[in-house]
Amino acid sequence: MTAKITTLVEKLSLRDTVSPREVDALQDVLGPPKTIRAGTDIVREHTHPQHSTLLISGFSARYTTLRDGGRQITEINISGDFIDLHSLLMKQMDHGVVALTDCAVAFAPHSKLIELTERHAHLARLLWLDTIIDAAIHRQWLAAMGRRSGLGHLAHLVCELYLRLKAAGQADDLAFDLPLTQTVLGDALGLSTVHVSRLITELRGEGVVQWSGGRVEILDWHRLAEIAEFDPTYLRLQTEPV
Amino acid sequence: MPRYYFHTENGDWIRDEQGEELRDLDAAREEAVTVLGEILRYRGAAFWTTGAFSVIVTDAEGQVVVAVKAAASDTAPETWAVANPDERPRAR
Repeated sequence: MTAKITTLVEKLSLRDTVSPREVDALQDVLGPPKTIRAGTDIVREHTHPQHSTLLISGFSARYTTLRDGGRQITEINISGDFIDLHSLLMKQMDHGVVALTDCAVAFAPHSKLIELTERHAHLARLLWLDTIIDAAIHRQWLAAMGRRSGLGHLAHLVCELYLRLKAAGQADDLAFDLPLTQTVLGDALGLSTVHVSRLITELRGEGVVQWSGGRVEILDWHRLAEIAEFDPTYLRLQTEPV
Repeated sequence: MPRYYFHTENGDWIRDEQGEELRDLDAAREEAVTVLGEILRYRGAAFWTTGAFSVIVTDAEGQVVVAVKAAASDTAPETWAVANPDERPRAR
């Protein structure tokens, strides 16, 4: 297995067994890795992509912009995420995807993906599940945006990113790299950067996390999950056949 | 674009060391109100313990350029009595 699909396979394997044949099939649909610089769009809104993009390394974000320049990030994507798998069926992009850090990506032409879904029904269901989990993440973000307290919302995001990074083999024990600015976090939480900065200080002050220089260490998972009212069901992290 | 700093005060002072680059003073005003509203939204009844919450905006030189303040109390502001006939002192 080449390095470019390691995190994807790790994540999928957590939900159901991925056979060697399926790993080969995934490998075959993907082109060579390409580097995208931080701040660049990986997929533009309103375009009709002819391929879907796998994020190999780095962080990217789905976003929607408003006329006044305001930006809402609707999901943060991490290594192993197919960032626009839905463009295979949706065709036209209803949102953009931007590289938040320098990213390595690989493209899977839609024609090859269609072929893969026809030949490998089980693998197709696993990829389908992945887009369903994207939708589940959006639901949780919506609930957080509308109803959680600022602190609960930030704590929820930290819990989610930790578990997702861990599922992709990208986190240490209760610690992970999060090289995102407070402006980006603000756009993800729908909060001003000043407020985000206060909330991080508050979480630190409570002794729940250590957060500096783009690295987060969770000192008290139980307390963090309690502040977030975190229920990981939506991430579907258990193994059950699909 | 000029950089503005949004310090907050609700009992304690919290200095903004990072600041934010914004288009102009009006954008800084808009941000000040947003910050005030966002933070106040989650203060709940605890807001009455401090009674006031301010966002003070300074420029790169540290000069105050605008400020916005919200207050909580158990009495109505004086202008209320003028506007509301029921609250006016009755003439005998």
